[in-house]
Amino acid sequence: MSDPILDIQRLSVFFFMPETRAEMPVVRDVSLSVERGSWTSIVGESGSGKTVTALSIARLAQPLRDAGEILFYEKKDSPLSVMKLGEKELLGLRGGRIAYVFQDPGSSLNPVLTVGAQIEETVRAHFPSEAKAAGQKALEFLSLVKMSDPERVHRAFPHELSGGMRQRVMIAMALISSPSLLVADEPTTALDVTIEKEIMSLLEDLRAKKSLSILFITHNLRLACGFSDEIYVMRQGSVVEKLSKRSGFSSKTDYAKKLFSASVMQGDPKSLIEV
Amino acid sequence: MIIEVRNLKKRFSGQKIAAVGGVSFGLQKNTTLGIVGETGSGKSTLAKLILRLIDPDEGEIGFEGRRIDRAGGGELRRFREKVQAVFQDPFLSLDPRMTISDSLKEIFLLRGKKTSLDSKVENLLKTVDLPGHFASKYPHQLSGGECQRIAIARAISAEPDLIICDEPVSSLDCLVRAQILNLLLKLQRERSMSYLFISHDLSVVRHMADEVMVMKDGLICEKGPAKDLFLSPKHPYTRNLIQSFEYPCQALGRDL
Repeated sequence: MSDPILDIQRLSVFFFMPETRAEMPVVRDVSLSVERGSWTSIVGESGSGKTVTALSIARLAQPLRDAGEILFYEKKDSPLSVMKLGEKELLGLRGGRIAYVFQDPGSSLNPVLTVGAQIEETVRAHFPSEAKAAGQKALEFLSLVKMSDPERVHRAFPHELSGGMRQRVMIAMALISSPSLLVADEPTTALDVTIEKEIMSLLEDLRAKKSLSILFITHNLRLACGFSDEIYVMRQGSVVEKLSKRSGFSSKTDYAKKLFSASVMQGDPKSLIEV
Repeated sequence: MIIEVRNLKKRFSGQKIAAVGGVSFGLQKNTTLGIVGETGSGKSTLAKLILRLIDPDEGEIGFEGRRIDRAGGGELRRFREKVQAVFQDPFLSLDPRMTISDSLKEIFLLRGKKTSLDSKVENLLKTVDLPGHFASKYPHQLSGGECQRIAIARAISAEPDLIICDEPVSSLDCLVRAQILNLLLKLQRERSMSYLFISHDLSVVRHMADEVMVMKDGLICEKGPAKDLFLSPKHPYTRNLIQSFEYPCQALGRDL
C-alpha cells in the first residue's frame, strides 16, 4: 500500500509583490506525495509554481507566508512536520535528509575553489568525525557518479569542467549525506541531449541502487514520461492533473494534452503545432 | 540557392582544432536548413561567419550569386539588410533602455524613412501576434516569449530573404516554444523567406527543417533531407544523437 516519503497537503505559498504592494499566491492548495523509492515529477510552464513547491519542501522559498502541511516520512509511521521545524532542525534536513540539485551547475559551484575542496567541505559538514578521510570520500563519490577520471576532476576548478561534468559534481555533493529524497530542479535543462540522457540515466541508476526517492522538476513532459512513476502537472500555482505510469500517462485534461503536443511535436514537419 | 558556402574555415587563436574546419553547403530559396550538434560543434561560429560578424580564415560565402566573404562598405550593408538574425536570449538582443516602439523603429530610421512609423510599429506587432500597447513597454516588462516575438519583429522589419535563427527557442518552455515555432512557420509561408535554423534540440529541428546538417568538431558529419536523416541516419554520431533523444519517448503510453 501507499508508503510515501513525502506528503504535501494543501500547500499554499504567498509572495509579496512590490509592484502591486499586495500578496500574491504563487502556489495554491497543492497536494502531492512522493512514494518511497519512486520517481515523481512536477511538470509545468515557467511561472506555474513548480520550483517554489520544490523549494518549500526544505523551507528554502522564504515567502511572505505559507499554509498547509508538509510531512516528511524519513521512517514509515513517524512523519516529520516540516512546517513546524525551527531553523536548527531544518539545517539537518536541508542538504542532509533532503538534497537538491539545481539547473545551473555553473552558478552552484564556487569558481575559486577546486571541485575536490568543495566536495570535501560537504563531507566535513555532514561527517565531522571523518574529516581526515574527506579526500578519499570525495574520490569515492566522484566515481559513484561515473566520472571517468576522478583524480583529475578532484584537482580541477569548475571552469575546467563541461556542463555535464559539473552537474555530476553537484549530484555527487548532493549524495554525500545519503539523503532519502533528492529534489532535482531542471537538472538537465542547460545540457545537450546526449548529456541529458547520461544525467537522467545516472539519476535513475542511483534511485535504484541507493533506495533514493526522486522529485524531478521539469517543463519537458516528454522527458518526465520517460522516467517517472507519477507526474503532477502544475499550472498557475495549482496541480491540474496527476498522471501515472500505470495508466500509460493518459490524460483527461486539455491542458496536459496541450503540454504534451507542444513538447513532442508529433505532427507533420512544418505543420503548425497544436497548442 | 540563396546562400552557398564553400570550404569555410575558422580557427580561433590558441585553439588546437578549428571551430569550423572546412564546411560546404547550400541553402535553397524559401526552405529551412537545420543545423544540429552539441555544444562546441561549431554551429554558432558558422552562423557568425555567415552573418559576417567574424571573418573566415578561408573559404567562400556566396549570397544570391554574389561572393560576400570579403565584402565591405556598401556591399556588406546591402547584404546585411537582406540577412537578419534571431538569437537565443531575447533579453540580450534588445536594448533595455529603449521602448519596444523605439527598437522597432530603428531599421526604418536607418533607411531614412521618417513617416508613419507608428503605424509601421503597430503592423509589426500585429504580425507577431502582440497587442498594440506593447509599443510603449520596455524589454524587462515582457516575458521571454514576448521578447522573442519582438526580436522576430525586428528581424522581419528589414524584409530579409534569410533569417539565421541561432537557438531561438532554447530558453523557452515548451508551450511558448511551440507558439514561437508556429510564428516562424507562418512568417515563412507568408513572406517566402529562408531560414538557417540552429538548435541542439532535435525535435525542434525535425519539425522546422527541410534539410538537416549534423555538425561535430567543426565539420559536417551528415547532411540530407530531414525525413531521411531522422528515419535512417547513416553516420554513427547522428545515430547516437537521435537515440539520446528518442530514448525517453520509448516509455511513453499509447494514449497520449
